Amino acid sequence: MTRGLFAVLGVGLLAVAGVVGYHFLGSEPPPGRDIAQEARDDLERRNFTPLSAPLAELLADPAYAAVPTQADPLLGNPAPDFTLTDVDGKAWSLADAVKQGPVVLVFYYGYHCNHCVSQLFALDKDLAKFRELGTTVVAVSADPPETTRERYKRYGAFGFPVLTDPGYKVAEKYHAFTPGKSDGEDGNQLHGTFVIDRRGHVVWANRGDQPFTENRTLLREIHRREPRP
Amino acid sequence: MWSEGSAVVCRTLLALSVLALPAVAAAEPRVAFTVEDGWLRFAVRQDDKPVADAAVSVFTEQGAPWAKGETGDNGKGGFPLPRGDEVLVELKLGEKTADLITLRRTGDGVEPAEVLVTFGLRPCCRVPSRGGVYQPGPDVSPASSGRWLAWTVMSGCLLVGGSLVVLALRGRGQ
Repeated sequence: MTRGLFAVLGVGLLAVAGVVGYHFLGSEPPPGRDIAQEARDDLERRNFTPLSAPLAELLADPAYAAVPTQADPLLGNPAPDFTLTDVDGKAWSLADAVKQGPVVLVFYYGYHCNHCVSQLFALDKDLAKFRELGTTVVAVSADPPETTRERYKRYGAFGFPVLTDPGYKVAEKYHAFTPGKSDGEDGNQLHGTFVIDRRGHVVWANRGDQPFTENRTLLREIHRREPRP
Repeated sequence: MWSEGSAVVCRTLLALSVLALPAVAAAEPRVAFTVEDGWLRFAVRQDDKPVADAAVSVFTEQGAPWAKGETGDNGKGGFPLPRGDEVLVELKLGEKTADLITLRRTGDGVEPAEVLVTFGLRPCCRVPSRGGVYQPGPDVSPASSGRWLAWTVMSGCLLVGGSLVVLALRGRGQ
């Protein structure tokens, strides 16, 4: 009797091992990595789903608990202005953008690993919703334009400007990068997401070691301050 | 022999199941602020439950201590609102002191009305200092830990499952 139980249990466990191995370990990316797919997989792991309901419905849902802002030093203060270049070498200025409406500013690590860039894929999926609110989405990293252009060629472009911040100068102003104290010491980089209102003030902020993918919170925050009919 | 074998297998299974349990981290606490009759009211919650005994200190915009206290069982507390356009709030949960919260007075309340409490922010990537060539840091996304867990579960199941089958087959032979 016990022997039979052991046999059944043993076979069952071997089957579990097979299933776990197949599902979680059998999907090793091919030698030529597909970063875009890895980023989409990363979003899936974070339970990200594109916002499918109409914007008005998403904004009005009382059951949704938005993520509050962090206590960021820039909160309530004018967003540090900057002008950087996009993938085509065209200048992009924050001051010009806020004249058109609110801005969602995202600092990402670069287009080289799954979670480094996954937030950009999430924003791209819901970009139409941001546009409905008259919001400009913009992403910043130290990636040189050539890198971004090469990724675009391979995986397709994002629908919003992706800017190059050489030397992390702008990221530093937003506390998304802290340089090393001495020449030899490494600097620290964080993911950063900021909502900037049309007065040019930071009204919501989130920084940390993980990308912020709760787009609905950003939309709610923008709408709360600048409702559109 | 069977009872010994069973005990070993059961112990191993128990240990593996404990190892394989995913670590469930508590969500960051949130603190909500309102102003009522000149009082600054706050409510601290974590995982949708009130946080009792959170030490709250309020400072004036010049940084002078104004009031100090603890949240009650309902996670709530309140102090008279100091003068000035800004109020600084420090929250201490257990031994951890949260990042200082700056509140700005608005017409009938304060902004932000709710804050996700942080205790210093962890960077992910380390990059060479200014002027250096960018080199991405290690990928520490949940994918890495997920693979580790998958490896652990799979290895454990293979080991224990294999042992059980061998034990069952040996017993059959005797």
